[in-house]
Amino acid sequence: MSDLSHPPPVATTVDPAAPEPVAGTVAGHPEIVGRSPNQLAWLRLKRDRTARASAVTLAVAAVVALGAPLLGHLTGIDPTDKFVDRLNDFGMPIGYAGGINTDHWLGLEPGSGRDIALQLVYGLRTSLFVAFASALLASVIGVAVGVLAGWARGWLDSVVNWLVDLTLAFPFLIFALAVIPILQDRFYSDRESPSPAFRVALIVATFGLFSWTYTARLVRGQVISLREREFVEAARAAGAGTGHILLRQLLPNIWAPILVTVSLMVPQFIAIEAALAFVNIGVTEPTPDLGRMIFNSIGYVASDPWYTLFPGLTIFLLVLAFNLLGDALRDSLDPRSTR
Amino acid sequence: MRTRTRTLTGVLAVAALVAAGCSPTTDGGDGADQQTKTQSGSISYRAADNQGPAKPVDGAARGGTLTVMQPTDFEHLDPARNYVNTQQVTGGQLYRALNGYKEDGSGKLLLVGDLATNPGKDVNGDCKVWEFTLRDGVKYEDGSAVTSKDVVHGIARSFAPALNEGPHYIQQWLYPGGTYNASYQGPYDGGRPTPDGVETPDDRTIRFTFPQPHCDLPYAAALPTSAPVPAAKDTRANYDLRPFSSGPYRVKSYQRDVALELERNPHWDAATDPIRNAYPDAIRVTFGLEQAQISERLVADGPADQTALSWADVPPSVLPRTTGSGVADRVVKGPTQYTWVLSINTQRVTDLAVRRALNYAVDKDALLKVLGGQAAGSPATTLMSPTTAGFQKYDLFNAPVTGDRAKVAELLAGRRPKLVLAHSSLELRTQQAEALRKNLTDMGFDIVMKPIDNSSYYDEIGRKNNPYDIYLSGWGSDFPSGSTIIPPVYDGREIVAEGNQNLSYLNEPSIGAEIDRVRSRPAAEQDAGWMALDRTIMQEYAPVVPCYYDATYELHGSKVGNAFLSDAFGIISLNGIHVKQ
Repeated sequence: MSDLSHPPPVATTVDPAAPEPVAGTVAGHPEIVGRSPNQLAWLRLKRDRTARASAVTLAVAAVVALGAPLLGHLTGIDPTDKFVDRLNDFGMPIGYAGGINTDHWLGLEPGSGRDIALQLVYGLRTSLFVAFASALLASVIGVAVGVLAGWARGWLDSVVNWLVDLTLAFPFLIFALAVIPILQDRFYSDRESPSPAFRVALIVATFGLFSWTYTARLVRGQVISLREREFVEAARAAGAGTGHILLRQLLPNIWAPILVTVSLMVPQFIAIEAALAFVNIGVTEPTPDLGRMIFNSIGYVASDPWYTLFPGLTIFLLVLAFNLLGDALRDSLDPRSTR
Repeated sequence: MRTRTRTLTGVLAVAALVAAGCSPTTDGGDGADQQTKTQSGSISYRAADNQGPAKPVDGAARGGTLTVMQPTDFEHLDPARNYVNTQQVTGGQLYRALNGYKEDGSGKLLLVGDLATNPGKDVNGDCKVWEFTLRDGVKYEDGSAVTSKDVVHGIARSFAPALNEGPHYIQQWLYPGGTYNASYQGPYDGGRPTPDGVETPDDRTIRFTFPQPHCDLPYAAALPTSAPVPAAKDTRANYDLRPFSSGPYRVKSYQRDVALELERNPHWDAATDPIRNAYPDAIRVTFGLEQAQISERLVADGPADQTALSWADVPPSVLPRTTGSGVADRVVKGPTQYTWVLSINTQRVTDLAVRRALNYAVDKDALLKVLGGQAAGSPATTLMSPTTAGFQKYDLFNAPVTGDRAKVAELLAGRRPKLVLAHSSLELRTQQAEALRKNLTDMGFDIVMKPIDNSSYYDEIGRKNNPYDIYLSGWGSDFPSGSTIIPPVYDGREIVAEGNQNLSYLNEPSIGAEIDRVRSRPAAEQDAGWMALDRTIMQEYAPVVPCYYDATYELHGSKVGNAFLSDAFGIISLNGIHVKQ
């Protein structure tokens, strides 16, 4: 990860308002190449092997998830199809390794007889969508609130800080347990079942509602430290309005840490979404879901380890890849943090 | 009897990935097909059956501590509130009802006198006046004698609104028409000490006089509400924690949600007891472990668990590991008195053709395999379970166990009915509902799944005007007679606003009339009547889809002897059990 042959430039101030040319990174290089901080960050990221491996893993996951219907088309199996005749009298899949064969590449779920490969791929789609959408929503709220608080200061800042404290103190799980079923009852009658899209939207909204605080605090601090800087003064002296200063002067300077928080939020949401499935308020049957699949499979770890293995391995790789990529992103965007 | 629920909550079993891929899983589970055991339940007046002591068990010796591992604490041990099989088997070691079941594990179930010298004397031969005579020498844990007044006090207090959780057969028969405790509410707060129709001519005699004939009273008298409670020892609501012992054991300590410890009642005399051997010196019931953990421990059979057993069914995830040598012979399995049916709300699904189509459509195999296949039960075609007296198997629809697509299409005739399927949100029940949804969708129905929190599931579907069309439910008889299955579940006159047992809400006067006719027959002739009515209901109205006969699959440790399935309770019996030294 650390690029010893290319030590980071000393004392870089990342001010896009004044992008001074940075000295060539290799001593004795014949020419001095001018690069923006973003270009530098990209270069550092590209050289990072861990980051590359993580990115490839995530890209594969994304492609597989998006291509789920294609796999269904290819195999002719729907994720909810049940192959009960391929289960023995105890409901365990017949054959080697949890029923793996040419029709069922990762075997069958014990009890229900569903195809694990199809459940996994469709479940991945649900989980990745929920995690990405939630991270995006949380960041948008967080940035908006953070900029507002940092820029306004005074009583508005106090109110926002108080709101952040309140949100942090609010127990997430209890809120989710209490509110999600009530909202479902509010919008759907006794004889209707909430559509999968509605459930997913509820979960995304709940995540967004509780996870903006970290971004908000981060952005607020950044804005407070930047707003008194010379380039902001200069812009103001040149007659720029508040909108211009916020969007064109301040925001470009803080997007790096925001990007890092997003990359760290996504794996966190995948894990929490799985936890919600544990208490039956996540995505419910029959929509395939990775978190619920893991929950159901844990009991079988001793009797049918293959059922536990595949979804477990998938979520392990996903969370690991996201975390490593987040780390690498932080390292490359903020050269001071390099080891 | 309301159902036991099969719970399987996720357990973070920190077990290594065993190399289970070395051998293929084969069809056939453990090979042995579960035979359907038909119960030969009968009431015995033979002196040999009714006299103590109980027949000794071969190779059994007194001593040792038996452990029972249970996932959750009992709700009630108070005899007036005791209506769940695990509680009744435990309570049966603490107090003795008028009658009891004598079993030896061979499938022979005899109803004999427990406190009483015989299972009740029908004084006038019209089943209206019944007399019980108490045994001599039955003593409480403090050495005082059990009197008929105490039995009457026990029955009287079961009318109290605060102690209303128990079975209410005798109570309802004493006060027919309306709620059992509408006019008499127990001996507390100025109430009369004795309900109408109960007399105690002397300290050893109890006489019941009912307005209507009740030939199955001997069975009802085996329920715990007829256990003696001395008025001086009655602690009302607190009696739950420490019932005053008239049986072979007494409560040593009871810490809710942790453990119940029983020790010997020194004043219990084996010579007065035809039912219980009481071999262990102590019984310890522990609560709080997850079902899967309990099963894993019993499979492992560690030194501490060799003298243990559990009444919790082995969850599906542990089942495959119970077939190996050293484990298979410690499995106690067999049918219980519960039948699981898919109730069809006949207030909403009024078309008989649709109800019949559902009977052809349901894939019973898929429903069972979610729960562990043959260990969880066998496909059902009747309303009553094979453990009911007089049971005769019939199959009106003759559909394959996975459903008959052609017949469904014929009955639906191009329609595609939309049905709302309510289910408990427990993991296994959700899986079952999803299996059903997929199955019925393929068969030509539109299914909407509605999850209901497990704790309120029966409350919700028990509301007369519930908005759902189909739902799974289980019902088990309170005694092995159709009279505790057909009337409570299929008599339209029993439908009330809330808390219904008649979950298909079938309200047919002809069924009510037939129920009355069968009821008035002598006990011996009733069995065939109930079985015929079972068939008629399915033939004419198809208000439910019989799905599966519940089975139990329990484990015990290697040092537990004579652990057999009680046909009366559907769980391992404690009466003849012993600890191997």
